[in-house]
Amino acid sequence: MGSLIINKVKYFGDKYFFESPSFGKGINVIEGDNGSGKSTFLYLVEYCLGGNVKYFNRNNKTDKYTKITNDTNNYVELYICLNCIDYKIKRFFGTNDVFVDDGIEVKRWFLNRQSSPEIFSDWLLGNLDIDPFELNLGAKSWVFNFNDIFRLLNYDQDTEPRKIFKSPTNENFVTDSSVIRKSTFESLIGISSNDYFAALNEYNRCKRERAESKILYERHKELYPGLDEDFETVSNELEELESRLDLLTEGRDKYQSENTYIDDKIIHIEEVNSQLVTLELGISDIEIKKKNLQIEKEKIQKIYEDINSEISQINKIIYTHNKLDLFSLEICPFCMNEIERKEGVCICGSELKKEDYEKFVYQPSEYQSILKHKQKSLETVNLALESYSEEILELETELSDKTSNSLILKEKIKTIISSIEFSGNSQLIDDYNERIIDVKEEIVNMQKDLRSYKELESLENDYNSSDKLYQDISKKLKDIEISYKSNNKKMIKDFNYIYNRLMSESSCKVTSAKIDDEYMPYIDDGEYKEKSATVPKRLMYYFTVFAMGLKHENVKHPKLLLIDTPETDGIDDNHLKDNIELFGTAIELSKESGINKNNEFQMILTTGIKKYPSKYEKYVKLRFNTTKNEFILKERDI
Amino acid sequence: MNRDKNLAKKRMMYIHREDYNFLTYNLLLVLFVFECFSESKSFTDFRKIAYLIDFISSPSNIDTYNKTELANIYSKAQLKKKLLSHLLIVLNNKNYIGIKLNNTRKTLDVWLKVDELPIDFIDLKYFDQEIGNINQLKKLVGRMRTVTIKTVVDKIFTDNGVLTWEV
Repeated sequence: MGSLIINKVKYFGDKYFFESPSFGKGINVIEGDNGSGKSTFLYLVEYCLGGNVKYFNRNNKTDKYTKITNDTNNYVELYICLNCIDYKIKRFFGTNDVFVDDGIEVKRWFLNRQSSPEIFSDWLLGNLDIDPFELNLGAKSWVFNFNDIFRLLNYDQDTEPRKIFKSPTNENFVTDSSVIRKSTFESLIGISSNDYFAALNEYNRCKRERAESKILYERHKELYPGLDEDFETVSNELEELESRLDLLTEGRDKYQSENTYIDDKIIHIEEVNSQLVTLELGISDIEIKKKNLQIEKEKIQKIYEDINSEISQINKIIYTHNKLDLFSLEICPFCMNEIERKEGVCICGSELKKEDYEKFVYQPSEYQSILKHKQKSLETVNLALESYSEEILELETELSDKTSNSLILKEKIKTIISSIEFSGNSQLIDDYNERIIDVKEEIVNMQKDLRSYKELESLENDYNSSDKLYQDISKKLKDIEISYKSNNKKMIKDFNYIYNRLMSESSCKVTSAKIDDEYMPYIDDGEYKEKSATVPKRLMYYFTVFAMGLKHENVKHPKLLLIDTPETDGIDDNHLKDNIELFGTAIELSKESGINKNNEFQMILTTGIKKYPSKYEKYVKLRFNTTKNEFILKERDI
Repeated sequence: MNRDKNLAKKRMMYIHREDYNFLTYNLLLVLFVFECFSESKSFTDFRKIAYLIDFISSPSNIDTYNKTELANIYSKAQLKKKLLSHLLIVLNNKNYIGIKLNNTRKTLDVWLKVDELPIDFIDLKYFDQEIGNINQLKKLVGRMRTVTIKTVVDKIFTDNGVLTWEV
C-alpha cells in the first residue's frame, strides 16, 4: 500500500559535500569501481533513515569513514516521496534525531525510545501503514522498528549472503533472533499480521495482568491464612461483638451511677458525724460550765481579796489601838481621868442596855478574836478557790480530750470522703473495663479481618475479571491465529512459487526452492550448492519479498529495494548480470495474479563498472571513478 | 458562857470600816501626807476626810471604781462624818491634833501635832498602801487641803455621774 521513493541524496559538511542527481521511480543504477563511494551512498541513505552505520560512528576505532567522521557540521539530507508526499529528511552526524520538513514546518524526531515515547520510526511506519507492535521476549520487550523492515529492503555487502537477512543495527541475540526475523518477514508478507500482533499484544497484556492479579490474590491469602470463614459470618460476629460492647459499657455506667459503695460510705460518714455532733455538744456544755465556774471563782477571788484587805486593815487598827490607846475604858476619853465603872453602867453613869449599844468599843483581845475569825474565813474562801481551780482544771482536761477527739473524727470524715473520690468500687469497675478492652480489641481484630476479607474479595474479583478477559482474548487470538495461519499458508505458497521460479532461472539452477518454517530458503531438499550460489539465493529472496509487495495490496512493503554491489563470494560477472536481470522477471511475476495494480516502485543498484545487464545502461544515474578522481565526496572550495 | 455570847455578838456586830481606830489612822495619815502640821497649815473642813477614807484603805486603784461603788462610798461617808467628829474630840483631848473653828468658812479645821504622836507611829513602810492612795487623791483633786467640801464631792462623785446632795 505505502511506498517510499528516494529522490535525492545530499551530504554537506564544513569540508566535503555531495549532491546526487534526481532519482526516479523504477530502476536506478550507480556505477563505480571499488573505493569510489557506492556503498557510502547507501550508508548515507540508511543513516538518514535512522539507521546505525558503524562507519559513521566517531567512536569506532577500526573501521571509520574518516572523511565523514572528521568533517564538522556535516549532515545528510534525503528528498523522499512517502506515499506520494514529498519530505526532506535531514540528520546531522553524531546525533540521534532527525528533522522532517514537509514543506510547511520542520519537525524533530528522536531515534531512541529513551528520549521520547514516539520516535522517527513510528512516524515512518505510520505513513507506510504498518502498525508498530511490541514483542515480549522473556524479560526483554522489543518494539518493531523501521530498521527491522530495512533489513529486507537493503541487500548489503556487510552481511554474509547465506544469512539472507541484513545484520541488524544493534546485533544481539534478541535483535537477530529467529522470532524477530520471523516477525519482520510476517509483518512485510503476512496479511493479517497487524490484527494478529495487536491481538497477541492484548493477549500478552491480559496474561501478564492475570498473572499479577493471581500473585496478589495468592499472596494475600498467604499473608492472612485464617481467612477461611466467609465474609457474612465475620460481619455477623462483628455485629454481635459490638452489641456486647454496648451491653458492657451500659453495665459499667449503670453500676457507677447506682454507686452502692458510696451509700455505705455516706452511712459511715453519718455515724461519725453524729458522734462528732454529740462530742461538740459536750464540749460546748463543758465550756459553759467552765465559764460559770470561772465567774464564780472570780467572785470568790474578790471576796478573798476583800477579806485579805480587811485583815490587813484590822491589823492596822490593832496597831493604832496599841500605839495610841485612844479608847481604854479605864480612862474617860474626854477628861482623861481614871474611871471606876460599875458593871452594867456607862462611864457617863447611865444604865447600860446591852442590846442598845450604839457603838461598841473593842478591847485588843476582841480585836484578836475578830482577826482570827477573819483569817479562818480567809482559809475557807481559799479552800473554795482551790476547789474551783481544781474543778476548772478538770473541765479543761476533759475539754482538751474532747477537742482532740473531735479533731480525730473530723479527720476520719475527711478520709472517708477522699476514699470515695479515689476508689469507688475499683475492683468491679476494673473488671468491667478489662472486659470492655478485651471486646474492643477483638472488634479491632475483626475489623482488620473484615478489611482483609474485602481486599481478598476485590483481589479475587480482579483476578476473575482479568481471567475472564484473558480467556476471551485467548479465544479471540486463537480465531485470529487460525485465519492468520491459513492466510499465511496462502501467502507462503505464493512466495514459494515466485521464489522457486526465480531460483530455477538463476545462476545456481535449482530444481526446487522454498522457504521453511523459519522462512529461510530451503533449496533442493538441502543438497549442497557451490559457494557462489549463496548470492542468488539471497538476492532472489529479496526479489521475491519485493515482488510480493507489488503483487499483494495488503503486503506492507514500501516497494523500495537497495542493492549494494552483490559481486561477492566468487560469483562471476555474467552470472551476476543474469541474476540482476531476474529483477525484471520478479516484476513480471508480481503481475501474474491478474490484479492490475498501478504500482510505483524504486530500485537502486550500486555496482562495479559495467557489471550490470547491458539493458540497464539507460538507468545509470551516477558514476564514480577512482582513476578519474571521481569520488562521492568532493572537497569544498573554501 | 455569857461572856462568850457577848463576845460573839460584838464580833458579829463589828464593822471595821466604822471602827474608831480605823478612822484614826486614816485621818492621821491624811493630815500627815498633806503636811498639816500647824494651825496656819490646817486641813480646812475635816468632813472632806469622810469621803476619802474608803479610797485610802482600799487595795484597788482610784480609777477602777464603778458608779455603784462610788455611790455606795458616798452614802457611807455621811455616817463617817459623825464618827469623825467624835474622834476629833478624843484626838484633841489626847493632844494629837489641833482643832480650830473657822468663822469665815463656817468649818472645823484640823492639823496634826506630830511631836505628840508616839515616835514610831507614822511607819511609812507599814502604811505604804494608804500613803500611795492619798497621793493619788492629791493628784485627782488639786489643792485638796483648802478647797471646799463641795469641790471635792463634785470632783470625785458628781463628775462621775453619782447623784449627790448638799449636807
